[in-house]
Amino acid sequence: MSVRQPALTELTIAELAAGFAARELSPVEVTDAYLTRIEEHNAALHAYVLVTAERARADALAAEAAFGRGEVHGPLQGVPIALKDLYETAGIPTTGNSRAYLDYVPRADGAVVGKLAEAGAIFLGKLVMHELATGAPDLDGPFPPARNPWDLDRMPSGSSSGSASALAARLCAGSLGSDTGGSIRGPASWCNIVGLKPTYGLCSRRGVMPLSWSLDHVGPMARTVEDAAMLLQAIAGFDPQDDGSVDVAVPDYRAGLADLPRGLRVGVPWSYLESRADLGVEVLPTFRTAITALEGLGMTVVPIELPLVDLVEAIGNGILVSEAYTIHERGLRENPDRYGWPFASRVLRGATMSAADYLHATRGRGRFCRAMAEVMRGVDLIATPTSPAPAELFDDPTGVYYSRPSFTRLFNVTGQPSISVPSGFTAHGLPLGLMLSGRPFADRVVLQAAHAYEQIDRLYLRMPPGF
Amino acid sequence: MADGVAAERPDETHDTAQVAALMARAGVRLPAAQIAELVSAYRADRASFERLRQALTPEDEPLHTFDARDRGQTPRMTP
Repeated sequence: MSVRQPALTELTIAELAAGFAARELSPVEVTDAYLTRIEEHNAALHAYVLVTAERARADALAAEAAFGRGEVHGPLQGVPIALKDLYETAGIPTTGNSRAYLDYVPRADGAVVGKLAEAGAIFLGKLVMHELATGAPDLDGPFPPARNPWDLDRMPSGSSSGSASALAARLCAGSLGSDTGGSIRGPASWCNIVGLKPTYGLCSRRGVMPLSWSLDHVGPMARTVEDAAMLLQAIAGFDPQDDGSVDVAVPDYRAGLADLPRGLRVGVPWSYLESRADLGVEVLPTFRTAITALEGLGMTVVPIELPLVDLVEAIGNGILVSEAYTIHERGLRENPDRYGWPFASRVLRGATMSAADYLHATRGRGRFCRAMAEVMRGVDLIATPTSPAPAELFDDPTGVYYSRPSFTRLFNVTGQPSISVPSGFTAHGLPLGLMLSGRPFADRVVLQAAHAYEQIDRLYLRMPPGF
Repeated sequence: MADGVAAERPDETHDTAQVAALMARAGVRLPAAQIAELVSAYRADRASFERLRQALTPEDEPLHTFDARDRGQTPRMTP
């Protein structure tokens, strides 16, 4: 009896890197396999806005030649990835899925794009997103919204929608998203993949279209925690040209990934979660199962209270919308027709806010951060569901998208590292995610805990039906 | 009681005019239907900012607090 060999596109980044290094896999064959899958499935998923097939094949040939010479220039050499279409890419259009930027062709790569290239990654193309990283799926936008491979009638969440859709359907091996209120972790949760929002300041945002400079984070999206760690390793590091960047030592995130620290304390805001009447019916039971699994790994689970949690939406939204309006003020005034209404209706709220509103929000943020720092003195991690509900239908997308307060936003406001890892499925086969958030710059601990949890059921092996 | 509730209801006309004025000040031209869509968000934002403002205290300014009610006195500085 023969054992089915996994298709090339089912292999993780770690498996691809090992296979390339051992000369058991060919970067050209793997890249071609991805390009074939994109051709087969992108028409249904709308994950890619641009496929750079020619460049990808050329880079794959170069990677293969380098392996042939025994040269390994970086840990991602030959690994095909794709980028959310707000990462500036030299000579390649970067649209932000906005008519305001359809003609924008950057002259240089963004900082982390350059780092990925140095690590040897091959770029398959650019991925669709919510316009300029906020709003909701825009059915009238320049590119159609991405579909969720687990149910094509449903959203993959956003704003890193194409990244999550492509990863879940095996149309790329890894991706970068951006996260201002949950735009990496939300899509990860709804698409059964891993999404990491690193600590604020760990990864440069230079050359990434901004939405809110004090809340924007860039980060990896991948199928496994190990893959996310490999991508983070490539993109982390100080950049003096990003005002938010922090000059800290970057540890080896992949080494010791399996060495779960003993005695981790995990705080769970039970009373807050149980008071939420708007959670999907299967969200809390799945979360309870995940918490039991964490205890089985030797973690100590303790109840916590989230401070000021009722104010975080006002704080986060006030800061985000004010900063986004500041960034897009001129464009919205001079060329309003170039922006979709889901984007404009959200960002124009900034025009109704005052300087005092913004400053109250920043003062509230200071208090919230200090209170959360106090909470984190007693725990290593905070666990919550990633999203209050599984993937929602496309019907009336603008109506539902911000109807539920977010768990993810808490950690954009504080800047703490936060990861979403697959935690189960609803009875209808829709993915759910567990979010683990750590102390600032303890990204490694977050990855270790998520990796240990992920290995229990290895849900990342599940493929969406029909793909 | 019904009268009291009615008296507390937001003034639709006032809020619509306010949003329209703010859009005009920003130099953004919007049709009336889009202004109307922004009004509910505007109300929600005003309500949440008011809750936030009430929750904040002078101690939430970590570097330099000044209570304007203490007019004529030396501002209170904290490290």
